[in-house]
Amino acid sequence: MRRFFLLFVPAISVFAVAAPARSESITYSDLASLQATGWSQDLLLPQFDPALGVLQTAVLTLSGHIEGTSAFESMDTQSATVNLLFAADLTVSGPTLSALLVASPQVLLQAFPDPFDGTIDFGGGSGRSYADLSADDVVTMNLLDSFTSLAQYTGTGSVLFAVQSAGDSHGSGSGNLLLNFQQNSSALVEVTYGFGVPEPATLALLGIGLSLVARRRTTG
Amino acid sequence: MLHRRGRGVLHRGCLALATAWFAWSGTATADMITHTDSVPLTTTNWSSVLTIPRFDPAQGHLDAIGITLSGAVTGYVRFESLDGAPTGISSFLSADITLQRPDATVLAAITPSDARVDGVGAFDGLIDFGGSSGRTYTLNAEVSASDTLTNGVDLALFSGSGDMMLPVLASAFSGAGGAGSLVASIMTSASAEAGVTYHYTPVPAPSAALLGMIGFGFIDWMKRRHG
Repeated sequence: MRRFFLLFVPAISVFAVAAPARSESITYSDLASLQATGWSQDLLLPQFDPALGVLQTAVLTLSGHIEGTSAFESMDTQSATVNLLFAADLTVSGPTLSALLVASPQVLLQAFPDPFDGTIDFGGGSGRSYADLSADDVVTMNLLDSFTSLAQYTGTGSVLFAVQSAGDSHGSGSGNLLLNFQQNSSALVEVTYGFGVPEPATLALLGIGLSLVARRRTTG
Repeated sequence: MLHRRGRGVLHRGCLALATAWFAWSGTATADMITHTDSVPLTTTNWSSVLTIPRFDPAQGHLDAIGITLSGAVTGYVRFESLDGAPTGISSFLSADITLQRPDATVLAAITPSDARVDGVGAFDGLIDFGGSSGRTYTLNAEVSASDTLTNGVDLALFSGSGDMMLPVLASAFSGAGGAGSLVASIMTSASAEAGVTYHYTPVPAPSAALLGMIGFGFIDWMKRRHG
């Protein structure tokens, strides 16, 4: 019986320690709401609480969104090819103010307007109007790729993320061209902490193992 | 007496011969004639025809044709950034200007172009193409290119009577951007000037030929008189 304890108790303890813990994740998010492009906004997201477990991953996700209208009128006397790019760059920077992610939603348009029809109405044969344009771009990164990042994202406080939107719409084509872009943009920043939590069964086995060891010592 | 007179006659004969030779060789140097025609600054896109007189073969032998095409592009640019933050607005324009033979093959082509980037502030509330968030300015560029034609087909094409009708076309390309919300306009004009230079070897002028004939005739007369 004593030999049994000598072999069985350490085995249980080793098994309990070596058994993989349950993995969980928790996601926090904050939104920079839709507004005229050209904005800057600070977003606060909670740090990972060490009481939840052992932090394994921290994935940052930036979802950039643009929407609006675009229009042109070609005033050339000949037909032309007009290219429009409806776009913006949404950048999220971390606590050290270095850019972490850039989302670049964009819409590409091409049109072949007729010679100028004499009316600047962004329509007819020589103009076009595009309403309800929208585009999204989602980019992600693991914040813990850098060892120094770990401390910044662990604790009971918050992490500051600075988000900026910068428009980058362009129009080109004929030599005589009127352009009109109206754009709003928004950004959703999410951080997902992946962490390990010891399983209840594993904890129980560990408890049993430790208690048996303690009992053997007292009886011995 | 006769001996002195003979020497004087001989002297005059040599003088006549030199005169004739000079008259003949003086017209053998190459010469050139240049013709130009142009299209003034005109809103793009446009096509026109330049008129260049052909080379008259009676003037001599056409050795080469120099072609020069000069062009300019001018753009009137206005924009207003409506973004809520400072940004950089770029604008550019260019024009493809092409000089063609009557059969539409390209004789010369140039592309003057200009570009500019302006840093502007957040929208100041007025779409006036000025203030801190707008600009109004002109872009300009000039380019010139030359070529020399020596092939027989082109020499024959440009020789004869009457005029050469050379098509010239200007096709502009422009653009602007850099903000999310932007109002912009670009108005482009282009001009072109073509120069055609005929490099030729003139035929002897009638007066020169006459002097030559007189000189040789005088020599012949002297020989017969002394013989």
